[in-house]
Amino acid sequence: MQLQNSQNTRIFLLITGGLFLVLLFYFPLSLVLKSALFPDNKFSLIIITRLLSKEYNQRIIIFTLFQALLSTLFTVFLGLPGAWLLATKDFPGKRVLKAVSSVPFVMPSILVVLGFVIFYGNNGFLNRILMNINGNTEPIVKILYSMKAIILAHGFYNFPIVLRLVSTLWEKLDSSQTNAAMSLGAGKLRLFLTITLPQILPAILAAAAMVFVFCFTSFAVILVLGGGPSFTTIEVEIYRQARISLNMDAAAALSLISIIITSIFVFINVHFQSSLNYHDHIQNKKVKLSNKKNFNPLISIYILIITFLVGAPVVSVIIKSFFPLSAGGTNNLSISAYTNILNSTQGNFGTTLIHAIANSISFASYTVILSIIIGTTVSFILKGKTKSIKILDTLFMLPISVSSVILGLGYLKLMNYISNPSRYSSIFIILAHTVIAFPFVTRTVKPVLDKIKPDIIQAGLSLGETPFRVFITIQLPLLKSAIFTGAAFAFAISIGEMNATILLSSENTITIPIMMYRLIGSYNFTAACALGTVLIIFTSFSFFLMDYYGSDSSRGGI
Amino acid sequence: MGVKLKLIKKSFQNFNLDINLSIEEGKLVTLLGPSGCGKTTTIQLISGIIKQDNGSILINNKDVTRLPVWSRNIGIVFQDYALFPHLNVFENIAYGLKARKINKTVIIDKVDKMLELVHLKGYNKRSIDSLSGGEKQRVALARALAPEPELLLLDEPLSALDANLRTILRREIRRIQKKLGITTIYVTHDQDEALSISDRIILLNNGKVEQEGTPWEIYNKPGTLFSAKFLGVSNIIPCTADKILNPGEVTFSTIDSEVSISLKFRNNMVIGEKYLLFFRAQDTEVIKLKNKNQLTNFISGTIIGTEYFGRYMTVKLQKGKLIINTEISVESEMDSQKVKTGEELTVSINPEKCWLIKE
Repeated sequence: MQLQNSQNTRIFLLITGGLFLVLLFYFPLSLVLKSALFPDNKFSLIIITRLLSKEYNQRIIIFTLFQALLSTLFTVFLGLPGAWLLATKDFPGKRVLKAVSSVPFVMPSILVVLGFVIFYGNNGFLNRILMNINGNTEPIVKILYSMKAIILAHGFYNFPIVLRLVSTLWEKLDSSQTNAAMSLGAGKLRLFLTITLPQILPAILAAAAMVFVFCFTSFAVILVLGGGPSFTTIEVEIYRQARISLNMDAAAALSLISIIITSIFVFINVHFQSSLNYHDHIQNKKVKLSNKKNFNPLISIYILIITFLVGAPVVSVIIKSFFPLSAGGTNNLSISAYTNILNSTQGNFGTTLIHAIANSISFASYTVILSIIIGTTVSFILKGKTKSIKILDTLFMLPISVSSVILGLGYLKLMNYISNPSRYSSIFIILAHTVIAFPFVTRTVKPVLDKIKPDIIQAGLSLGETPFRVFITIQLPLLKSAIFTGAAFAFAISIGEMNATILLSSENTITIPIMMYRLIGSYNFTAACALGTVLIIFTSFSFFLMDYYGSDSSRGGI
Repeated sequence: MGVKLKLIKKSFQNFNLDINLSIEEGKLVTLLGPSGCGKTTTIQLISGIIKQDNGSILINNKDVTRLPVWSRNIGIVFQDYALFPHLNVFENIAYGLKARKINKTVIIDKVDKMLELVHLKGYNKRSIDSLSGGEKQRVALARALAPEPELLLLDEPLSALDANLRTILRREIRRIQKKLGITTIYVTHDQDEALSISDRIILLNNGKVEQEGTPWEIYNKPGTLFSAKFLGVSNIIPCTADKILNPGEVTFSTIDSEVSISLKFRNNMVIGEKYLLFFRAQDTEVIKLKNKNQLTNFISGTIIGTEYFGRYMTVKLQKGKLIINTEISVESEMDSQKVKTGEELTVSINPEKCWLIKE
């Protein structure tokens, strides 16, 4: 009877969650694929072959692959020393390194881009400092609007992935293996090459594949820092075709190519991620770190570089917002950029800045509510570890690996079915944000849910509570921290989301990131920085919530 | 020859190791003690995994104090095997040989010999994941022995295995150790293991050597209160040397005179001196005689608890403040039913098996 009941609940949840996902993810995605593969309702590769035959498109595809490859190599190079440090050393500043490296996780890409422009730009902080030291009048670091800037920004954005994935596995390596190898006569190099490297390689490859996908589908970084046709990637071209050239078929065909290529790397990532589990049987040992708290110059230099790389652009955005360029060409301390935000008559592109902030907050709030509901529902659907659940897991988590530009394109297609679609632009934006954000709620809630032992639930039921009451009084309180963490995640994702939003927004639904993009485009950096600072406040707030509840969710009597 | 630890000192936050010991070549010596006594630290120091603050370490008269782990030529078997999961059985055992840049054909031959030694012939290509716990431990032993180390260290090698397998494998380890004649240090907290496998036992407590001796000495002649308490079920009773009966025979009584016992000793006893009287539960015997007055070396008390162990049962007797642990062999169901809580029981204590510890 009881079993029957929980089975029914599960089917109900599966139908609810499935319906949401089919309607709001698979259907729009299929619309994109349909217009790429079924022109005039008949299967044909004509659009694809036509697209691929153009040298312009070939160049874009090759460039996309090339920049992703270089960015991945640079990212791995940047992340590996940190992974080594976190996994094997105890040193002053370890907490700082951990905290700093989690910043890019919640940083909206447009903010990273703005920070890079302000800090590394020809007239940026770095050049001004260097010019002051050198007495030069020409900028010394000229990397903006070039391949270098793209790679640097991608490295900045993605090195924490390498750091986290690799150090987590590295930490788990049994220290007695190291001791065993050394006692058998292996020196340090031999030890690394024969014992450590082969065992952390899956993590390095998994991280590299994930970074590759992110760099391959990177949007804001390319849109702003790349600039110009020679540095265009597939994702930017999808946006250009869909919103500027209004060639939806070409956009769809490009999306298909993008999906095929990223799928390969998602597969590589999944393959290596799952092979990481073979260390599970030895991971329960608490790792003993070398307790030398020595001052090591190399460690300090690495931490300095990382702190500088992550911190400088963010800090620059905040500083810049207080120094608007006045009429005389000088920069004086002023809060005018902020008063301009509040001044609702200060129109920009038909929408006020305060309106953009209001939109962002409202979209993010709805996204949080919807993501919690969907994300938690999906967690309950995916509870357990059977084979069918693994398949469901892949189906429900697929939105993570499909680029949000392509999702936005699918929603544009979806809007064709509605009369006067721009009236509903905000609803579509919220739904798109939810599709992007709910997997993160699931990812934080599901592990905690899996850890709740069935006997706790059975105890509740045996004491006379109904399944619903048990859910409310036992499961939900145990999941509270995880849900809060997921909510903070969803908020941060929504408030910084630009890729799908830029495809879907109308003049009434401009958000902070879109407004920032427009302000950067019109060289109004002070206003962009003021909005950027608002974004920093919001994301730091969610970051602290995550940090606070994140550490809490591992406790809680489970 | 053998191993010498000279005035070794190592300090951690809440723990100080202070050790001085010498191990004869070709012997199997066990470091025994409760967890946290410094057993593992001691062998980590010998292997060079951690560095001592003071003192020196000699292996076969060679000072290895400053040598790194990989140059000490020591084989270690770890508690959790520490096999390399990404290498197969052959590659694991060959690891130390390859590190020594030994010829390939020699390695193949050597690995086969080692597998034969640990009774795992033909396991060369097996993956580590496919092995059972016992097989893993055999591979770990083969791997440690393959490079022909001068010293073998075994750090609680059997603690991850079930009881039956532990017994089988400890016999195996002893067989192999004797066959190769390799100096071996064996760490365990299991007294049965220590008693059955060792040439000598070094009992450690709180970072110091508490007692050293053959298994027989450690078990029967504990030097300190700690030694007496650590091994087996025993009785440790404070008592005073009462009077000298004959030359070399002294009567001792407990504080409240519950027991009076006369023992023969070679050394001279001082009357009035305080000692701890030590005897094991199994060195007592139930007395069925009615006329107890004729007896010496006995105790009568009320049974306050019994536990049945199959072959024997343990009985706790109380007389006044004194509580005595005794062991009674159980041959029939009758025997076990005779002993009931609340009833009186008289047991004699075998004076030959008593031992005095200076308080």
